[in-house]
Amino acid sequence: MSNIITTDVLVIGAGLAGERAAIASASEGLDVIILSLVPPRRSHSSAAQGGMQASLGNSVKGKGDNTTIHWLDTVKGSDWGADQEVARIFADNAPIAMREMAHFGVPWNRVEGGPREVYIKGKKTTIVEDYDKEGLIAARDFGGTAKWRTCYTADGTGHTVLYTMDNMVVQLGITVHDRMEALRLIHKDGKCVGAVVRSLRDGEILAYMSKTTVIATGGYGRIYGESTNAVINEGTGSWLALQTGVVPLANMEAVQFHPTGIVPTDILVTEGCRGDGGLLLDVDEYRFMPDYEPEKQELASRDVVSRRMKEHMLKGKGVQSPYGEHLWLDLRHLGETHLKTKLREVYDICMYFIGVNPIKDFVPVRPTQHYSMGGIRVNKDGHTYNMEGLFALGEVSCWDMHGFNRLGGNSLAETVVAGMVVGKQIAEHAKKTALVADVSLAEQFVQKEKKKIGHLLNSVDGENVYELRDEISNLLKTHVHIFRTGEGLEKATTGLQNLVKRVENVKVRSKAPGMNPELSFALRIEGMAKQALLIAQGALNRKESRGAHSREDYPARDDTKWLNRTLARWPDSHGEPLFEYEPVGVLDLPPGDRGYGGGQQISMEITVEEYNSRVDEEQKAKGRLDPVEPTGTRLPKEAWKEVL
Amino acid sequence: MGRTLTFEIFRYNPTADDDRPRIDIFQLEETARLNIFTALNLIREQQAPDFMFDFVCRAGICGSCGMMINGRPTLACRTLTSDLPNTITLYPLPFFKLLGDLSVDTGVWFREVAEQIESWIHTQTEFDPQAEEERMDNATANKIYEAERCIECGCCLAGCATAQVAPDFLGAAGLNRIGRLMIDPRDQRDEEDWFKLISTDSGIFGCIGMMACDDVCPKDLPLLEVFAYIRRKMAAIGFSKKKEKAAAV
Amino acid sequence: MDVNLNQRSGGTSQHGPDSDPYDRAKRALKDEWISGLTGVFLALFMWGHMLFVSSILIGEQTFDFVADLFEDTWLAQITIILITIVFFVHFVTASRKIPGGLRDRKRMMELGKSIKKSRSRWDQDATSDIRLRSHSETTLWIWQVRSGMTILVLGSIHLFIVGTDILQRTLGGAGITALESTNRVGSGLWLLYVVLLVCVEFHAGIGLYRFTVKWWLGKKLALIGKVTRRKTHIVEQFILIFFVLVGIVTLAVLSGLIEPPLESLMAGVWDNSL
Ligand SMILES: Cc1cc2nc3c(=O)[nH]c(=O)nc-3n(C[C@H](O)[C@H](O)[C@H](O)COP(=O)(O)OP(=O)(O)OC[C@H]3O[C@@H](n4cnc5c(N)ncnc54)[C@H](O)[C@@H]3O)c2cc1C
Ligand code: HEM
Ligand code: HEM
Ligand code: SF4
Ligand code: F3S
Ligand code: FES
Repeated sequence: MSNIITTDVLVIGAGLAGERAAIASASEGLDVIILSLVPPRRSHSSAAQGGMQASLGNSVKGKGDNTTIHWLDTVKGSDWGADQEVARIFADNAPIAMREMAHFGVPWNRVEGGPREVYIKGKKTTIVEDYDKEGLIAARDFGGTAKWRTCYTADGTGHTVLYTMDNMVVQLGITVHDRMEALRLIHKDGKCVGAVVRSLRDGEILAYMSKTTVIATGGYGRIYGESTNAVINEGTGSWLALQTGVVPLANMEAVQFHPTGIVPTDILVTEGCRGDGGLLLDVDEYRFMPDYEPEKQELASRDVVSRRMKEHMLKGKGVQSPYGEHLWLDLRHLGETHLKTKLREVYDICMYFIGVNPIKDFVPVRPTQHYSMGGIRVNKDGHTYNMEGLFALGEVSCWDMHGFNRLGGNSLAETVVAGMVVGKQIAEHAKKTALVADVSLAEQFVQKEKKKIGHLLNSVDGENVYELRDEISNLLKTHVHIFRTGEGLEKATTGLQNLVKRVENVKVRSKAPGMNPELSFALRIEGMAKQALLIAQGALNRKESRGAHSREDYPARDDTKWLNRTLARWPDSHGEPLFEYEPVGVLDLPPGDRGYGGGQQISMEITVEEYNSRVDEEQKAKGRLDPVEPTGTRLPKEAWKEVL
Repeated sequence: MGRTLTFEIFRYNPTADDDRPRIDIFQLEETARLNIFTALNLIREQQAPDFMFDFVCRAGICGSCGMMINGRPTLACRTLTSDLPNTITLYPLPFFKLLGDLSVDTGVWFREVAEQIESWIHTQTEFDPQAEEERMDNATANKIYEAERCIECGCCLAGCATAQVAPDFLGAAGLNRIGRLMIDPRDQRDEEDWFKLISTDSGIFGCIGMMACDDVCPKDLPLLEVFAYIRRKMAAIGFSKKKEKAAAV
Repeated sequence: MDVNLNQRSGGTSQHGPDSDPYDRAKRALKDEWISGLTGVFLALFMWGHMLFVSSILIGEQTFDFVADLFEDTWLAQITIILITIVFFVHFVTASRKIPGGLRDRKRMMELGKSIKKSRSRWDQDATSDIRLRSHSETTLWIWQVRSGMTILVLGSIHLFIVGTDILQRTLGGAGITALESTNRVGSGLWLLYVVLLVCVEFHAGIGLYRFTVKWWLGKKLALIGKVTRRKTHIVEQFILIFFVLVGIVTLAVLSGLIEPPLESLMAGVWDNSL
């Protein structure tokens, strides 16, 4: 008989999203257990540097900002792929979330009244901060926004916010089991009742049974190999959902490439670098972005900047290096003080990892996989499709405020806002649900995993798991990157279909008891291969260019055929995934031009009203559970007209 | 370039009944800009599949990869082999419980310390979602951030000779966290609370000024300055409270 | 290298049974202050003491004059009692910090050494912008303990000797005189004094450095301005070297190796008074 642990709420993932949700439940008096691969403070949220968006409007360059403008920027940024109601919930709650974090203890940078020198669009400019705003939360500039709206603590925002959040977790006495990996959800008849978990301390397999289960496991960037993500971001959480066969993953083809990953280590230097005035230069030390984007220049949305950089490199203007082609990021003019205070992590990273002193030298950068807009599809309460009692939030989810491109600073803010909003629904759900400690069901799922492990450990002949990983990532890197073509995507899809079969035949060389790192990785590879296939095949299917998904053979955004969201499931019995499509959600801002990026558009054939009338019904047909409040209630009609 | 590096690595798997601590030797060709993160992964993937170590961010931000590199506790991910001699000796951080090979349990220790020092902001004020945030001087915010930057890598504890012999000791990281809370105007704990918490031999007076913490801290935190601040504060509280207490009796 | 194979994770506090936490905190603060202040007091005393003994550099008369002055005013008698007490109080309170077990002391030493050594093996490339900070303070502390122990033994002997002198004087004898001192030192006691001198100056130097860093770092102090570690270290080394040099010359004079070098300074004064 295996060890079974019961709790009201089981939160898988101790990043910002998971912890904030856990706090929401624990402060309602519910029993919560958080699982994490690593100690909570090491979660990848801690690596976020730049900041989080909220329309507080305290800084003089953010004057007049409000939630509607933030919402507008977000929807445009998403290239209309977002669920506009969710984006609205997000924008409305973001200022509250920032203030709450200030109350919990985040040392936000604050407004200092009076003049100061900043760089705007490459020019040194003096701005005068209002004295009557002194001491309120300050903001910096980020890409794709109409106002300066990104709240920050130097370039350690994720770090300070996560540490503060974790202190709250400690205060509430929430149990955290770190070095624990959820392997499979325990579910029956469309109800989730817990998870099978493997201890990374001693290899023990346990069952956790709960009233409500929450997935908040972050991104899957490591499937790409070259990524700014932490090495633990291997898509294990979205794999939990995909394994059920009924819960769909959405928009997996929407992958963000960040303009400034450093070469060769792929570590991120924050968008704050450009927000604070950093410039992109080419091999001739020429500043090329204003040629492509006269209005936003370096600070267009990430998909656009990355695309322009790639475009410019394809014109032969990249810098050749032993580690591949790259461009330069020039931070020198910001000065030593700025670099050693507000961009201190960036300074350290450049110095330690590539031996470049940004005070004196250019930093080599290139677009690098950074964020997954897609993920486990949930309704606006965070409830997954087709699975009662299973919630998802944070980067792993597709709550869908990001559509096909997320704005910098919106993701960290999403984790905390979703933690509040979805967290509340999680608590409500747990309160009205009874614990089903179905021991035999748990045992059945545990045995399945034990058998799998036994099988892996007994393998005598088979594939090397690390080689398979490299093959998967190579296919994605080559064919499913910034620019995509039908031909390349075909290759990737066929290749990955083949790899999905090969991963069944992995050989684990190490038979060591305990954590056994090779076995741990072997347990993840199937999920990585299958999700890679969803990315490639989703991209192949989507015959348009929207946000970060850019097809050379279909350069236009097609709102007639593709104003929708990809849903992919993988039922057990199937050798291949099932793809379906649903409307993106109720539209308020009709699809239009983003004002940057210069793409073409094919307009909708039907009216917005017609589109909206189908949303509810079609989403339900795909398995969406009814949210607590009916669809659209949070979307004030045409409020945007007042700010345009 | 072109060197062959020799890694002498501490190995021990406590979950295996028959395993004993030992030193394993691995060889690796050095490549340009090779860091210990890449090197260890190569060793694991090519030579020792059961080799345990911890990395998360591999960018010097998360604090997972502290280990003793040639006798010095530091972050492995941002240590370049080119700064090291041909032979590289790797040990797990002392002080923390060993989980296996180079992996140690810093997480549980730091959680216990967080509980002990109640590392959250103590306030009676209720959060009001509709109200403007409480104002704070930017200079104060910066000062707090300076101490908040600790990534809990544990290098300071591993380098502190005092911590090795006094397992109760909060260590530089613990003291630093208290210092961070003490300068935060939002934390309403009063002087006596601080005094009781930290004027102890496992607190600030457990530190005898070895200064290794300050030298090895990968984040260059001004640890000694924080400690001096705490000491002065403790003296000020302890010696002034004497009168009050006497008066009360 | 010592690895923690313990299955328990690092310990946390285990406060004493039921003493009041406020009183406990108070006691810890007091202990720290007593060991620190007695140390600083002893160090300051030693500077004065060095100047007193080095009056031999200006001639035996000067030395005797100073000795007589102290003894006649009862300053010497009071001081020696006071110093003896402070000496032992410091010893008792400061050695609280010395780890009891041999194994523990060995661990500390190993760690100190390994961090110190790691510097020389790292970063040979001086052009690198990132420099590792060298580290010696752990090793210095270990030597502080060792020198402290030595002072305990040799200092006690010394205190006994000069104490007897002063007692004699009080009972009508000669007390401390240049003649007596030079005889003592010249007949072999110099060996003890050289060791004691180096130990005391080293111990006091490091002690003062540590004391300054512990309490005043970041503050503004007279002489050194804003206290930084580097500055304090430099000042401390300067003082250390100065006093060791003065002490060595003094010992050389006391043991009759050289003539008092500054005798001419006061020559006129003593000639007249005779
Ligand atoms: C380098 C970098 C910089 C960034 N900077 C910014 C920025 O400036 N602004 C911004 O808005 N966004 C930024 N982002 C994005 C943002 O940081 C992330 O999207 C966000 O932190 C995700 O938070 P999360 O809580 O969803 O997941 P994470 O913080 O990644 O946490 C995931 C948690 O799940 C756990 N976990 C995973 N799998 C399992 C499993 N199988 N079982 C148990 N536990 C599991 C992990 O241990 C971890 O605790 C950045 C991202 C990167 C990569
Ligand atoms: C009796 C023999 C002595 C012993 C065993 C001894 C031992 C010690 C020890 C172990 C410390 C370290 C305490 C700590 O770090 O908290 C110390 C500190 C110190 N000692 Fe001594 N010592 C002795 C004599 C002296 C003498 C004669 C002097 C002066 C010349 C002196 C001056 C100091 C000073 C200034 C400190 C620093 C205090 C501090 O850091 O708070 N000690 N001593
Ligand atoms: C009131 C107390 C003291 C008196 C009166 C005193 C007196 C003297 C005298 C007279 C000498 C000359 C040598 C001799 O006559 O033997 C001397 C030398 C010396 N004493 Fe003391 N002493 C006192 C305390 C101490 C203490 C506490 C220490 C250190 C632990 C110390 C360390 C030394 C040293 C190192 C020398 C050699 C001096 C040199 O080379 O300059 N003394 N002292
Ligand atoms: S104080 Fe420095 S060395 Fe210690 S845990 Fe924090 S970052 Fe690491
Ligand atoms: S090394 Fe240790 S003794 Fe104090 S100064 Fe640092 S904590
Ligand atoms: S892996 Fe995060 S600090 Fe080294």
